[in-house]
Amino acid sequence: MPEFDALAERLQRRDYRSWEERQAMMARALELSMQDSVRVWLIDQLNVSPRAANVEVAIDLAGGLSGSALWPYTVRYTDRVGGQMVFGTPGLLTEPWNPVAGSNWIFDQMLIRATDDPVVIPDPFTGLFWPQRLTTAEVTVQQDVPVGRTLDWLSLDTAAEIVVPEDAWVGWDAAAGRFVTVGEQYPDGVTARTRVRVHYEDEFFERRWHDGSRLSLADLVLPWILAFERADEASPLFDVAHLPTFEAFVRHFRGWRIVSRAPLVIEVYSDQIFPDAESIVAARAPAPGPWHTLFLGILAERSGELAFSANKADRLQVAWMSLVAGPSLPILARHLRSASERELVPYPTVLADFLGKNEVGERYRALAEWHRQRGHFWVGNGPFQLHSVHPIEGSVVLRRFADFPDPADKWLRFSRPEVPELDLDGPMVVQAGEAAEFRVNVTFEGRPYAREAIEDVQYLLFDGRGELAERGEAEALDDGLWRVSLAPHAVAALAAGANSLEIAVTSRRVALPAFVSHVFATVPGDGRGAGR
Amino acid sequence: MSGAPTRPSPIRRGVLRDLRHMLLYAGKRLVALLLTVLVGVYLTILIANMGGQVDELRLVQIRSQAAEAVRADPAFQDLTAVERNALIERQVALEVERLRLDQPFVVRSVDYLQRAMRLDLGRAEQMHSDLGSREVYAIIVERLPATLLLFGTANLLVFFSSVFVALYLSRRYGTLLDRSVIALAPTSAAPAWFYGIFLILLFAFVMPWLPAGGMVAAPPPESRWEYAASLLRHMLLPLAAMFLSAIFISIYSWRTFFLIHSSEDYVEMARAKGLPSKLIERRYILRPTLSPIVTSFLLMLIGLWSGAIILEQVFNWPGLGSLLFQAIGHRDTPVIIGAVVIFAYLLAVTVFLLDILYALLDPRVRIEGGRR
Repeated sequence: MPEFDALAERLQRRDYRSWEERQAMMARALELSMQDSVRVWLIDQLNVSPRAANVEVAIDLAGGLSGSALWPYTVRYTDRVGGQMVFGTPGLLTEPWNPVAGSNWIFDQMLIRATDDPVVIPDPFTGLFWPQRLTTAEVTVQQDVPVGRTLDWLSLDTAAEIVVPEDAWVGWDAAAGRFVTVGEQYPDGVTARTRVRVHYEDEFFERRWHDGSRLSLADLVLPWILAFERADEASPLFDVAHLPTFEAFVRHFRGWRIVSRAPLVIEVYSDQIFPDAESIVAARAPAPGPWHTLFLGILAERSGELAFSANKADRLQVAWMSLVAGPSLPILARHLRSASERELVPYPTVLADFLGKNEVGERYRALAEWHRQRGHFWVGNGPFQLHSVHPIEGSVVLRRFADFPDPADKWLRFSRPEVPELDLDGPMVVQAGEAAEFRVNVTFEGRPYAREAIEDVQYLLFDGRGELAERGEAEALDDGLWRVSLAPHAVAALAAGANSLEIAVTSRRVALPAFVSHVFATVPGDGRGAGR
Repeated sequence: MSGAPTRPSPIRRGVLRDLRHMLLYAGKRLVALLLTVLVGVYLTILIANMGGQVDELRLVQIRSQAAEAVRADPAFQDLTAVERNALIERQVALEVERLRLDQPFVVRSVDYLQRAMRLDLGRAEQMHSDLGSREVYAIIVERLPATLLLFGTANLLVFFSSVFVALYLSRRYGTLLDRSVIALAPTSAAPAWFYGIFLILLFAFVMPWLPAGGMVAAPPPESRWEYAASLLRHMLLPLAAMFLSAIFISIYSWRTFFLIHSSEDYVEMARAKGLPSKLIERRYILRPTLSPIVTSFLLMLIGLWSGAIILEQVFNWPGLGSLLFQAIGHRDTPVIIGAVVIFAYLLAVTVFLLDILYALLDPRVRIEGGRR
């Protein structure tokens, strides 16, 4: 079906000019998919994660517990503070952990997320991103780009043209060990479809890594350099398996620059868009990674002893790098000793400028002490730190990170998805030619659902043959109380017999609509009066 | 005469001849065993790969995984269908090259074989050791202690208990205890994992006294003694399952074996001479039956190597059985071959040692060409 194929591809590439156009394309694609429903279908699956009755945790509506970004921030006992919790997962340490191209297994990622503190966190019920280490973000898009904003922590505006500044970094010269600027790469200038300016919180560089060392700007810059180095055939870090991702990235990437160091403000330019401005910020905002552990990996890969990716490890016939266990650890420990003795700095021509005073020595000392105490190199900045690893026994121990800055209740509001609970009340019999009124009670756990939290209450009226007779929107009367009024002519248009009123409620708090229906009969005008 | 050549004495001639015969025999046996290992390993390679048919399955799997990875990665969402398909092909080519699927299976199978015979186990294709190593040797060796501990304990317990109980029963033929054991022997028809499920249900859930699975508590205790205690607690249920499943049939078979030997003429003669029963057991029953006992013991020991696939899965025990289960699931040929080739070599060495031991243990056994 060429039309359906073309529509699906355009929808996936977000190739539309406005939200209305997108909705029309989606409606047409749905219709076509129904015609070809032998091959096109939706999988509606329910997965269950059992837990003790006194345990509360934020679970992602789509990704479950393993896919929840907020589980480490919200997991707790409801009847006491703190304590020890044991939980099982179907898999653990399935593949080696490293921050560049390590294990991508969902159960490993679940634990890795607990040790990491991202700059934005997705809402487990809507998928929209909330700031974690940002104060605000400004998103600018070209005028013809269909992007919307829902949350008010960021702003969205449009511009006729977004010119990328000449001093923005757009590439990396591996031979010279320096960034390539937009001015050098595009002498005639270049424009982008989006600009994201992210403002990090004032205390961003007060935060600490699990080994006690402070964050620095080098933690944000080194991962960028590495992404370019791994795609450079002349570099010892070149990895053919990294190329497809990198090539897709440079197709839309137009540059980035540090606007201010204190407080930290960074601008990123790109041609890639998402329908939600929140998602654009999440995709663009640079996230820190501890440069000192990353550098050990770089040294090990440069020397041909380990490799970040499985593909390169197999090609070189060396071990796939693991920062948590196995044959990688003695190699990394040796490189740590060597780097520490010589106070090595990765890419010194660039990074020296972003390092704090005495930072190099302090980092290496902190990491050596961390390794001595725990026997691994996995250092993050999330709410939990990797205390110990027991690969053969199949367990790891995560402990609370004492220096984590946030209060324990910061994200607790996401512990339960507020899926609307509906109750539809109305007449069972309606006389033709008379008006009819139906009331929809929208609640959550018995409490009325706030009016402003409801995005839409739509109704669909089907006649006795199952055909759509009318559709419209309900009217809000109060918090949790909505009214559907059917005019006399709408009732009169229904033939005598059974009809069905379907209500669909969408909430701003959860991306899961709720449905309720009510069956009523229409009788001719000389029939019995309406009753309940 | 002083300058005349001295001829070796008849005894020395006999020893030299025996030695020559023994070396010849040992050489022939070694060659035969090596050929057996060779055939066994190559058959494993053929079966594990279904004669090369698994390549087709792997190609389909690689293609679907690459397609899924590209489709699910937000980084590739902006690509057109043509670009996306080209990317999938590129990823598939990388993986095909990595797994050498571009070479004919016959070539790979011979390569697998020659490396296996040299005990060069190489690298796994999909799996990792729990510690993160791709080396097949590391993957196998890492799981060995857990299997040896559990199955060694269980098999030694079963072996020695059954031999001694059988010896005891063989002297009390027809008693209530003897008949009870015979009656219980059919219970061994059920495998250990079957008992394991009921034991877990009873002692981990109905009466939650023991852990349902795993090797130690999570998190593992830091003190060495507490770790050992936790390990013991976790071993109890699988041990009980294996013991229950094997003990009665084992006692029954040894008892029958001893009964047959107890009715030999020379044993009857010893009894008629009025020798004490302990002496009869030791010298007239156990001594002549030592060869089959040692054979059974050694085969039991090397049987530990394979672990027990389903039992380890039921008890979530990180041993060689569950490793083999994973390797088969991943179609990871080097790991499967690695486990099999070590087993084959162990079996060959054991059989060879048994041949020698028989001659030492049983004076009735003579090597080929020896004096009769």
